Amino acid sequence: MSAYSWGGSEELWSQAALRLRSQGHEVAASVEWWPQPSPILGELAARGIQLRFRKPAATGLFSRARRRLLKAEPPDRKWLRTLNPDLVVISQGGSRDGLEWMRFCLEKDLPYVVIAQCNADFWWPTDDQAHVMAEAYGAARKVYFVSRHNLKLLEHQITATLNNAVVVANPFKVGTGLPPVWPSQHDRWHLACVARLEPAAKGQDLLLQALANSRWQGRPFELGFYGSGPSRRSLEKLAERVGNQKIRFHGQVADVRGIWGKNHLLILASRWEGLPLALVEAMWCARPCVVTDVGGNAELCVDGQTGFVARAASLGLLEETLEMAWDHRHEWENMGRTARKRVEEVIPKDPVGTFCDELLGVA
Amino acid sequence: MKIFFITSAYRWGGSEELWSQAAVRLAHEGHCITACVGYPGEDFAYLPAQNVRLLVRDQRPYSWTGKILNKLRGRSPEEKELATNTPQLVVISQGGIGDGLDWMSLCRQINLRFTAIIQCNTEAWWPRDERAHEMAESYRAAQRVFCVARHNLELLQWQIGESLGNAAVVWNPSKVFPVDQLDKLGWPEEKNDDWSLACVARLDPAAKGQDILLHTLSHPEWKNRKVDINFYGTGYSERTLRRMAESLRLKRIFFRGHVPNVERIWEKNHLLLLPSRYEGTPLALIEAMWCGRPAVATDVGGNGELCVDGLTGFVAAAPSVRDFAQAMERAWERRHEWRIMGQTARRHAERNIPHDPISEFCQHLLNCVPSDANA
Repeated sequence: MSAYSWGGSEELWSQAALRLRSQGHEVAASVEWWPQPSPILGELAARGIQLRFRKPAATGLFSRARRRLLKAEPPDRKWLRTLNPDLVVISQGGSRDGLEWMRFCLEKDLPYVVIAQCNADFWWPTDDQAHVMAEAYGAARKVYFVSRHNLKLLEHQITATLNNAVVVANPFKVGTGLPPVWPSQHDRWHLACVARLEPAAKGQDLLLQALANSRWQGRPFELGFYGSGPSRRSLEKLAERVGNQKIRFHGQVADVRGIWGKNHLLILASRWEGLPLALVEAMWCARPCVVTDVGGNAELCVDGQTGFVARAASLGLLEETLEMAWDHRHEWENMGRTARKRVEEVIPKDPVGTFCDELLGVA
Repeated sequence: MKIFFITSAYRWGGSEELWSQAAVRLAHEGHCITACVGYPGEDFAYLPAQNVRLLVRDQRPYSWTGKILNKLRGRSPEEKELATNTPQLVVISQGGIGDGLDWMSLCRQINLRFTAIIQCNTEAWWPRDERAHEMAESYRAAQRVFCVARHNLELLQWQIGESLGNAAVVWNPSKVFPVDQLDKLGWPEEKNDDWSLACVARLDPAAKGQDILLHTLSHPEWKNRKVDINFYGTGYSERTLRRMAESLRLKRIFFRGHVPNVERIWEKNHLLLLPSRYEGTPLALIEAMWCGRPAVATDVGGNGELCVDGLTGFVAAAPSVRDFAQAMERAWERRHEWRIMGQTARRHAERNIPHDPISEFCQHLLNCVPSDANA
């Protein structure tokens, strides 16, 4: 796997690894090295999963020159080759960060499947890249996407049909038991934006601008940002600039059910997505959602029934949608119940089990 | 006055017109001009004959041999040149908001006056906190910061978390002058409800959204309309776009390549289509307006500032297939008014766009240097 630190994208492969190991399969994982490794990796190791950390290759000029001159096979690749597994699972945060691994498996004739956790139309391959990607994706035993949108978009980007593609669900952390009780709303409405603090992807800037509108100043609400990320300071400054006193930054919160015990509505103004866990989890907790029509959002959230879908991630459209949502605030509790029914229909209760069955069917 | 122009570009595009035309104009006025460019070749070869001294940056910085050489010799020749030649003003032209940042840091280090040009900005480039901080410091230290759309500037201020009192919005120079010749440009023939529409943009769907246009055209209502779609421009995704058009079974889609003479495009086409995902203020829109053609454009960058919805064209609320299809539909219903809208667009250009944006820009640059420094 390759990752931008540990995020929602890492849950599927790592939990599948644990499950397969507990069923007696031999499992090994190659993960990028981070100064503070996720505790989940400790659990993988404790359960007998062989872990190999890929340190970034030394960037010093002379070690690079040496590598270049000796044309040595990188040790991580050699490791994989000697392991000679029955199946290689390449998990990507996006749609091409595992491309080199796919090409390696293809070259060495190792059977592989690919997970693409996200795809965006802000990135488009050049003709040459598209050709290489079509070959690498086409040769995979299976390709797993988390939304139909992401799959269709990739097919357009590489101008190929992927008959080996399947849409799968990510595991969620809120359980499938009874949803948390609807929070009291007598003093104000609690809105939550649960997302990495990274406005390019998650659009928190749009949300802050929308709430800066004078219409929102007099309304009884509080907005909480849950999550951490590379732009926390920028977003706090933005919140100050819009001068809204009703905005709180809560940081990363491990207990997601706890978030929904206090909040009424999820708002996600994303510019691109796979299928956000935050949406799936809010719906399991029977909360309605305001989302933008990117990635798989509108495949799960039904506009007017389980939430409100903005046609695109633009300020005007988000403002309109938020206005619509606010007008219907007394129906949120009902919509939340519909959301719960919807997610029960669409998302398997045990996505990890479903995914493991998939993998075993392929290997 | 000694002025040093730097462009961060690694290929020619509309973004290179402003600084390069200003460099030539100032050289003609007798200033001592150096231009530092990122790649060799034809694109900048005309500059020395115009009295602009040309410095081509080392081509090897990204290869390991180049890096070893750079490491051994310390500052690059261009950096040394800046430090020893001490121009009175450095003009740093960027395609985006951060690609000239290293140059700005260098100017700050060696205490040189500098200005920055930002040719494009988008919400999809949000700097991380540390980089936002560095950007804020550099842009604050600039004499002036020039953006090509109000949207781009306002977004930048959001991104770096502060207002820039030294910022201004400027116009890119169009290539369709002199204007009086344009008056001879007639309206293309309209026979049998047969129309020609032009998408004038680099073939780069991530930025220019040609995929949005092709998907719009795949809707059944468009398949029965007698419309030629002409793509003008080149880019790294031509094959992908051709195959997409094929797989959507679209007919009457033509890839016309690069056409240097913009009037030739508008002799044959009735309407400009710009489904971009992000923009500065596109020259293609400015030029179509000067040539008296209406446009369908997405509301990104400066498009919505220049194209007046319902009057000079049609603005799609966002770069999505649904919104662009709606705008195209509104346009189609009013196709018999396109000619009049084009005339309105031309008048709008005359009222709002300077005839000689380069002279205004040169004046901005000269004003950056106090007269006592102008030795």
